Amino acid sequence: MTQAPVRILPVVDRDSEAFWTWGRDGKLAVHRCADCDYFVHPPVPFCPKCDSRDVVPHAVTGRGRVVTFTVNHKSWVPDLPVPYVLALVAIEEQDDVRIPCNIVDCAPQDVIFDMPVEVVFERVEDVWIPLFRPVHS
Amino acid sequence: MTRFAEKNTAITGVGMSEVSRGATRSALALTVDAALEAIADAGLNRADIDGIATWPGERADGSGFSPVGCAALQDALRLEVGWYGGGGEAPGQYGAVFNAIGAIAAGLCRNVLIFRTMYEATARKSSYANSLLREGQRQTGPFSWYAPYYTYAAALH
Repeated sequence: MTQAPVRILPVVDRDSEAFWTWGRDGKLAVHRCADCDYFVHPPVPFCPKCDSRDVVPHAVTGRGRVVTFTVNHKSWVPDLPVPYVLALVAIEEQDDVRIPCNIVDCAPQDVIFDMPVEVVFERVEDVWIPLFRPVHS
Repeated sequence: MTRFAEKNTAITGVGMSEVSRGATRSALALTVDAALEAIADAGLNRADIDGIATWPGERADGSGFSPVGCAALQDALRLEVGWYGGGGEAPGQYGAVFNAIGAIAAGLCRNVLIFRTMYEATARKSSYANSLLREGQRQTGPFSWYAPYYTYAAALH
């Protein structure tokens, strides 16, 4: 997607900062409860499992599976290359952490449910946007 | 015993403004057109209207997503109301209808003017690249988790 229009960037706040910036070091950050290890995403410093307030960013492996996806064929804005894939990826540490993303380095027709993927980052200005690509063994 | 408030209320009139891209009249003017048509269709007069409901309420950001709220329409029509409500955190556009049902059932008012004004197709021709953000503007809130991924239209459920 090197010719693609600039992505709409997120406003980074205290809760989302790790998710959007730890890619600088190649790490995917997901908040995790320090007391019961439950992952909380989107990030908020509260654990819905054990009521702990000690929930902080944790570097996960960056591997997961494609839970579901859509192949987008319409170019909604000028120069948007199509087709492209929108997906929800579940991280391997906890299946209910679902991360919206694009699947890259892969032909859209080759994306399948449950496909193993790993994170890659695309830097835009001061954020590192997590994307996922197939795991090549 | 369950009371079904909606069974004690009715939609008695409807109205719709001219619909276009690149409107020649203001969003408020179009809203007045639709409101007066609905009031007349119900066999009522402006003086009969004692409540207003809308979704999602005024967003004075130029996007056209919801340029007219309760206050502007109330002032334009000089409505004297006992209740009004406009807010986005309702179950969609129909939230305005159910807020009105609740208000009527609770006895807060009797004749509610319910409206929704959209001006996006016109706003897009002036300052906005799309209906949500100005060019280069960053996304806040829950949609920020989706916005970077060209999430213009997709079912990800």
